[in-house]
Formats: sequence, C-alpha cells, structure tokens
Amino acid sequence: MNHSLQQRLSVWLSMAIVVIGLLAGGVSFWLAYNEAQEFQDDSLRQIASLVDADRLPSDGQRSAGAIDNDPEARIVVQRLSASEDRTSAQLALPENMKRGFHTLDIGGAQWRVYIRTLKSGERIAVAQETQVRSEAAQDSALRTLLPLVALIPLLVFFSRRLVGVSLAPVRALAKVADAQSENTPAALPTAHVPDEIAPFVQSINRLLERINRLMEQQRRFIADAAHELRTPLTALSLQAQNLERADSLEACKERLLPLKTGLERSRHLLDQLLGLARQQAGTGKLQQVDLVDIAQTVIEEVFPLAEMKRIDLGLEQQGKVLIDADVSAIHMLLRNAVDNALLYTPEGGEVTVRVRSDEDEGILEVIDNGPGIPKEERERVFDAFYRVPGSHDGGSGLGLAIVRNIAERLGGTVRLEDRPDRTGLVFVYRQRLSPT
Amino acid sequence: MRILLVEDDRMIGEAVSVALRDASYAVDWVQDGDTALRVLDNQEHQAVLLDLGLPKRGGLEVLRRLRADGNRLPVIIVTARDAVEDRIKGLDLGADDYLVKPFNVDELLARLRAIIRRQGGQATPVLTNGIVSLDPATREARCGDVQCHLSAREFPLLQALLLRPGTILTRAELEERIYGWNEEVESNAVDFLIHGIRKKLGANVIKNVRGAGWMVARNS
Repeated sequence: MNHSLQQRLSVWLSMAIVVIGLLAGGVSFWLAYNEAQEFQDDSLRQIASLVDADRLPSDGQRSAGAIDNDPEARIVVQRLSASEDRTSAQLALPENMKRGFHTLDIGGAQWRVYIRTLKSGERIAVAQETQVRSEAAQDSALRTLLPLVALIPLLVFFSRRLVGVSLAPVRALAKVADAQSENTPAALPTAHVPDEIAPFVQSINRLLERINRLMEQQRRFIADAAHELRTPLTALSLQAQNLERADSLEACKERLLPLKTGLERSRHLLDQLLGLARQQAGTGKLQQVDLVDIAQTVIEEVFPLAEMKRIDLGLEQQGKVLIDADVSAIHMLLRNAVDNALLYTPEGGEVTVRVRSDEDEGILEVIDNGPGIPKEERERVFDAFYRVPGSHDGGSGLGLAIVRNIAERLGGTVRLEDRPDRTGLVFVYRQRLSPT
Repeated sequence: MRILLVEDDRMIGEAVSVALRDASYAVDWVQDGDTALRVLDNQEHQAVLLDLGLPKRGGLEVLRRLRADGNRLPVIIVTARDAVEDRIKGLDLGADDYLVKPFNVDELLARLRAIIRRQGGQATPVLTNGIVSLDPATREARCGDVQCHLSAREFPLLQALLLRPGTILTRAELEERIYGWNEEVESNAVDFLIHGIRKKLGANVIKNVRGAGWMVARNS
C-alpha cells in the first residue's frame, strides 16, 4: 500500500480520466454510428428516388463517378430482375427482396441495400458498404477520447504541484516540531495550516500541553523530593556529630536513640518514594480481591503499632466485598490510610476499618477520632509532600499522594469526610464491585 | 550567649539544640514563625537560627517583620532551599548569614561566632578589652601570663561581658544569657561562676558594681 498522497492522487485522477474518456468515446461512437447510419440511409433513399428508369446506367457500369476514387465510399445502383443474367450483375443480390433497407453480407463485406420499385414496375437496389459509417463513428469516438487522454499527464502534473504546495505548511510544522526541546515543547503554530489538517495540529497541541503539565509536575516533584530527602539527612548528620562529641557512655546511649529514630524516618521516606514510583509505573495486574481480606491483613500488620499507642483498632464488616484490583496496590492504599489514622489519633483513641458495599460499589472506610483535617486543606493533602501546617511531623507527606495515585489507577474515588458523630476524620475509598 | 532556634522539624530541632548546648550556648527552640516573632519581642536572645519553611509564618516573613521593627539581632538562615535566588532574597531581607541543610555542626558554630563577633564591632575572632582576652572557638581565656580553659557556663558569662566592655550587666541579664527557658537557674549561680573566673584569671578581671551588677573594664 502506497502512502504517498501525490502518487495516490495521480493514479486515481488518471484512472478517473481514462474511464471517463472511454465512456465518452463509447457514447460518442454510438451517437456517431447511429447518425452515420441515418445519413447513409438518407443518401441511399435519395439516390434511389433520383434514379429514373430511363437514365439508369446499363448493367455492369459503375455508378456515381464523384466518389469513384474511394472504393469503400462508392454507391452501387443496379436493376433487379428475375430474367436478368445474374453473373453480369455487380452485386450478387438475392432475389425477391422486399422494399426498404437491408443489411447484407456480400462477398466478405457488409453492404447496406435499399430496394425501390420504379413507376415502370422495375425494381432497383442502391447499395453502399457499411464500413464507411463505422469509420465515421470510430473517427468521432477517437476525437472525443484523444484530448481527454492528453489531459492525463497535465492533471498528474498539477495534482502533484497542488499536493506539494498544500503540504508545504505541514513540512514546516514538522521542522518546528523537530526543533522543539523535549523539556518544554511549545505549541505548534496553527497559522497557514490547511483547514483539513488544523484539527490534527490542535490535538497535537493539546497533547503537548498535557505533556508540559506533567513535566512541570515531575520537575516540582523532584525538587520537592530533594528537599524532603535533605531534612532527614540533616537530622542524621547532626545526630551523628552529636554522638561523636558525647564524652560518656551514658551520653552516647542517650544520643544514639535519636539517630536510630532518624534512620527509621529516612527509611520510611525512601519506602514511600519507591512505593509512589511503583504505583506511577502501575505494572500490577488486576484480579478479584475481597476487601475484607485486605482489611484483615493490614490490621494484622499495624496492630503492634496501635497497641503501643493504646489505640483501639477494629474491623467492621458484613461479609465478602469483591472488587477487581491489583492486590499490592489496594493493600498499600488501605495501609497508608490506616497509618495516617494511627499517626494522628491521640493515645488511647479509636480507629475503625469498615468494609461495606452499596448497590454497585465496594466501600473501604477508615474512621479515626483524631483532630480531623480542615475543609480547605482536604484537597491539598493529596499533593505530594504537602502537610497540614503545624501537623505532627514524622510523616513522609507522600501517603495520600500514593493513595490518590492508586485510586486513579484502579478507577476508584477517594474522599476525606468529617466524622458525623464527633471530631475525627473518615477516609472513604469507593470502587465498582466486580461484575458477578 | 543565648540563641533562638526556629525550626519546625522535631528531629533537626532537637539535634541542633544538643549541638549548641555542647558548645556552651543557651538554646530556646520554637517551631513556628508566629511564636518566633512573639519570643523575639522580649529581646532575650543574641542570635537567631531561622529555618525558612515554617508553618503559619514563613522564615522570610519573620525576618522581614523583625527588620521592619528595627531589630538588628544577628540572623542565620538555615534551610534546605539552596537556590541562589533564595539565598539572595534572604540576605537582602537582612539575614547575616546563610547555611544550607545538611550542614556541619562545626561550620554552624563558626558562623555563629563570626556574626556574634561582628555584632560586638570586632573583626578579630578573639574578644578582648586590653586586659583579658577570650577565644570563642576554643573557650581559652588569657589575662597577662595566665591562660586557662573556661567551663561551659563560665564562657558565656565572660563572653557577654567582653562583648560590651564598660557596660554593666545585671544578674538577670547575665542569667538570661547563660540559661535557656527550660533550664533551672540556681539562685547564686552567677556569683559562683564569677568566683570561678576570678580564681582562674585574677580578681580584677571582672568588676563588681555594688547594687548594679558586673562589668569588664573598657579598652583604655
């Protein structure tokens, strides 16, 4: 399959011209043929009517001299009589032919014959070869066909030029696109672009805009990540230097503790960064999972932490809730939500994981009795590294960003809501149930 | 010498406090910009270590307000933002120095000594009034032929006096420079420390003005 517009246009135009030329030639041939036949018949009839018995040339003589030099065009006039010696006749015409026109095959050639009865009772035949009229018709058809065929190279030439000129702006666009830097590709210019291509250019521009936005997000994320990595690193370096200056074993032990906590914090931040990267890559495959199973596993994992803070951690469920999800992703989503709840709920508080479903959605809820999040902050907390001002430190600031990433990938929705009965936050994740 | 540390990260705040106390500074630590401004109103501190990314009121805003009020307290910005524009902005707003996280404790201490020295109008690292001299980097004091090492509490006391020779500092003022908020001040701690310094360097090093306080002689 050839993809060149120029070639395709040329081929199709040429074919169209040939077909039209042939059709026109055919029609022209048919019309000219009919006309020639009528003309021939008229001539024969007229000649016949002019023939007078008295002036009829004697048998065996040639007819009308004016056209004698073209043997094909000659007209033969001859008497028909039963008594006649047939061998002397010019044309061997069958006997008893009726009045009127006949087309006969005589001596290998086609003849048009007109039979007339004179007043004297004699019958005459006026005849001419049919080849004459065929030639006239063919000439006419050729005359119609030839100029059209001559048009073909002209049309090919012009179609090539037209396509070339029309696509010049596209080539210019390609140059502009090639010259773009990959960091901040700018929109392609839409001026001088043919109307037919403009929508294509516009959608490319929309795509570029989306890419730009994504690149900007990535740049900001990397800058933020670098900043976030610096904080625990600073703490670690200071804690190590403090340890170095300790002058007693007791002081050493005292200063080792914050260093260990600092290391733990760095590890957590790196884990979260890796988790986010993994979620963004989104490689896990979907399968049917029971949210109750996931909730149980997560609760088992964090139970020691809850116990340490004397937080009453519990599960509420009414049976299987099946959704299609990547197991590790949905596990990470719930784990982050529960970690947050445990982090912000004061000692002796209560955290509940509730699994339920409505008509078509599976619902995961994490209910705490921490301080909650002000309404105006509830969107921003999903941004990477954003923390509510003055909030408990030690979190990576990535937990909810990871949650949102997972929710987007699984096609679910995530919301933070006020707890209706008392202070506290309700984390709600909803996703379509598995089709049964 | 009493330092106000403004740092929102708990771990860094704790670690810097430990490092500064090890270097005989009294440290008070606050975690947001609003509290920092309120505390600075009391003028108890001789220098501020200011983080930029603070909740409620950012570090640059704290600095702007401080300078707008005419407060010339030495300020060192300590932040993870290392873009040149950020440094320029901070210095233009009136910061005396700039330190990028993660930093070395020794560098922080050297920079602190430098700005405190400049605050006292001296370019040389060693504080002196012509009679007694003090090297803040080593805590070595010298008076005539006598040279000795001062303790963690003795050093800030003599330093406070040597920064403004000829000026009387009251007991409260001296206590303020030696102790942070959460440190218990023993009732006769100042007398005890001055006694110690006089014992090491000679009785006439620090003069007592009865009913008023203490001073070191102005450079003659």
